[in-house]
Amino acid sequence: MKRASVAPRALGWFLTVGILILAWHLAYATQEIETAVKRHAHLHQNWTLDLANRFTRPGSSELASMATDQPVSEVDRPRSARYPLHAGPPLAEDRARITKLALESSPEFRELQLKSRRAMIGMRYAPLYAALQLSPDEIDMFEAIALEEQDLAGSTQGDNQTHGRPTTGGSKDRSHQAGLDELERARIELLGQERYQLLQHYDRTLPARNVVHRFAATLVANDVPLTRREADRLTEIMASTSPGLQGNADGEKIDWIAVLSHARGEFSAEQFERLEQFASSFHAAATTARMLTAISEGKEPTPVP
Amino acid sequence: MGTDGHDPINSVRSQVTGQPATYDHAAAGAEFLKEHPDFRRHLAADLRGRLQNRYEPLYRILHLSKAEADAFKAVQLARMFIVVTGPDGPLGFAVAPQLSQAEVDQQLMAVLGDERFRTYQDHERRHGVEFAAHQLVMGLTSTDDPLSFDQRSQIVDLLAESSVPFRNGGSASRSTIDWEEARTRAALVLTPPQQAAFERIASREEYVQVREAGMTARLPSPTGTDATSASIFPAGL
Repeated sequence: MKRASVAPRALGWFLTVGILILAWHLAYATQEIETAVKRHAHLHQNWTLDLANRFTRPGSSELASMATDQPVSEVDRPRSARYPLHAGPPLAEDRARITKLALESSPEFRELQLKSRRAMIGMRYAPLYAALQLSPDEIDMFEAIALEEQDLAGSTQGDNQTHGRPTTGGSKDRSHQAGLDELERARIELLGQERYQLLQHYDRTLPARNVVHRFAATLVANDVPLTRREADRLTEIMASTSPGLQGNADGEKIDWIAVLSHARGEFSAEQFERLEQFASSFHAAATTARMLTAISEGKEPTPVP
Repeated sequence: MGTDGHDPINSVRSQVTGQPATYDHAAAGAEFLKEHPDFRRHLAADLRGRLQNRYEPLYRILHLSKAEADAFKAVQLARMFIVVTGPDGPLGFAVAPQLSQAEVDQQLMAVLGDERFRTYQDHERRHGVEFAAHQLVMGLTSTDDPLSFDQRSQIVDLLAESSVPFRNGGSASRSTIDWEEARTRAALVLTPPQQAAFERIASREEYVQVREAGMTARLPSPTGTDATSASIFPAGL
């Protein structure tokens, strides 16, 4: 009698445990799939971003580096090598949320970020500092104005830093615009009209200068470095022959034929030969980046935009 | 994504989308390249350019002839594989027949010889910190203190040496550089204006290190336990 009642009870117990294990596995598997699909979507999104920016900033991978806030080598490395496979990289909104929380809660982190932002401004304007012979105090003031401008433009919400002076937008209200105007006046007062005009020219030609710096980096291994004067000259040539090169995503708009035509005779034979090679690979890279983006969007990868 | 064809994302994807798990993105990519020769041509030129940029300092260190450099590049091209996800699924692009890592190493050893192959391997261990030397080179262009090739090599070395995993025989990476140590070492190599440029990179990188450490601590784990209790900042911050 006793034995007969134990069997169904044990069966019931086993069934309950079995169902619980099955349910746990089901929940776990569903979560795994969701995580993987989310990660997959993120990879796709980031890949597109990487491609769109890869060859359009100061250096081949510096472009992606800056756009994705990753260093050159990190961009080139497989993401699976950078993040635990199970989790993938944090989603963009998660990154922004976490960074915002950290900035709100940690004065030390805020301080680090401020130093980093100032450093980025310095990297962008170092050649200008040298050309204008700014004193340390003037540099300090110049960077303080740029930081304030970034804050005013709301470009540092989360961690979405800009790396230089933000452009003004039509959607901003009047007080915001007044604030920006005031900072611009402070900049003019700091530099004086003549040096301020040089700053404006520097900003206009910055996309070209970034490409020139990338070219210059390729010359280091060959002991034919560009002098400061040569780098300035090539920047002028590129900016004047490629008016379409207005921003960091305009790599394909460089008129390399015109650039090479103007540059011939202005540089040493070896430098010029290297420039031809650079032009060829830069153009291929910019075109490939656009084509890959088109493919990811389901469009035909046409060689001419 | 390895060259062995294993694609964990694809297998999960197939469960969710119903697309066959046997979907071969490499074959799909090869077919796509066949149908788009212009794209293939640009992609090949792009990849060769990337290899040139990455390994040019090594060519000089190893004193490679042009023929040797071309042979080196041809082997490296056999491990370049790009995956792009389009609306119809992922496409894997390769412009050269793919080789396993062992095959690549074997062929590189044939091109370089034993000693230079070891130098190449050592160079690869430093690749993770080369970005900073590259940034420094670019940052000092258009100044009166450009970085020389020797200085560039010294910067790569000191950044690697400032990384514990490298000193322990592994690879140096962005996240493992001890920037305080790197600053001290760099001061012996750089002029004051160059040090100012180096300092900017260090400031930026220190922030990124702390932020990324915080991000990793906050990643959700597969068991669903959000590691929110983990501090976003290393001890001391």
